[in-house]
Amino acid sequence: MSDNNRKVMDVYASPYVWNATTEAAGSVIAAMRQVLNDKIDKNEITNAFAAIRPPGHHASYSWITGFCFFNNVFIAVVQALLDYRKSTTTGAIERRSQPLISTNRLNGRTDLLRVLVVDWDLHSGDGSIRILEKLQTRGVLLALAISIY
Amino acid sequence: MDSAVYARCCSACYLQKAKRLFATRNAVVNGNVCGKPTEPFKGHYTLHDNNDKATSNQIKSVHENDLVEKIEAAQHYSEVEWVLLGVVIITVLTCFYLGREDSLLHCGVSMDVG
Repeated sequence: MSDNNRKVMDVYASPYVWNATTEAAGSVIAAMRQVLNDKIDKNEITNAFAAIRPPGHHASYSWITGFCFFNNVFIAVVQALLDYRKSTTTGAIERRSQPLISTNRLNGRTDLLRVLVVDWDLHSGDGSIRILEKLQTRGVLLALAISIY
Repeated sequence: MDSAVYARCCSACYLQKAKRLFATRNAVVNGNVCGKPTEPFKGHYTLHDNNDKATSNQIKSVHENDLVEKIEAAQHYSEVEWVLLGVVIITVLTCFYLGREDSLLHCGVSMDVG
């Protein structure tokens, strides 16, 4: 199904949606930053869990469906790729001195983080798949675990 | 090894689930839940009350602009609806105050026809 005829399915917008979606995506970004910053600074937090609604893995770059508005995980993944880099000498994670401002700048770079996204649900994470196809970024791997169909 | 638990403020049921989940593992619950201070207890997990919001630019890095703008605009619908409701109420009250209820009837008929 193309993006054009699959814009909005199973989602209902209310005046509170924007705050809810931005807080949900912001939570994942904040969790990602805390873990990566603590890893770089050798502080105590080594992993994080984000308990958020609305969910995101059905949301593609141009459609919203399956109760998902924005793909929270991939927003955090892209933000991590833009803000952090892998040292070309040691392989360690570093903050970029100049964070990238566009996903266009990710193309062809050799210092990108390697990211594994594990998507576990009854349904396929179709939005995540489409975003990954569009990004065409090296180093991001999506693992789907589907229980029913 | 410590973990951070991020939860969207006001998703109270999820915070409770997270608390129960991590309580079985001697969780630490720090921070606020919907502005209400919670008692921290000892363990290896930290529950954050996260009020950080993703910016439009962060979302647009993945999603197309028109989708972001449409959903962003949805939060203003209620303000518009309240203004329209206010205009209708003021109009009705003014008509009754001036004894021109018949104008309301004409207006209603015109709207039905239109």
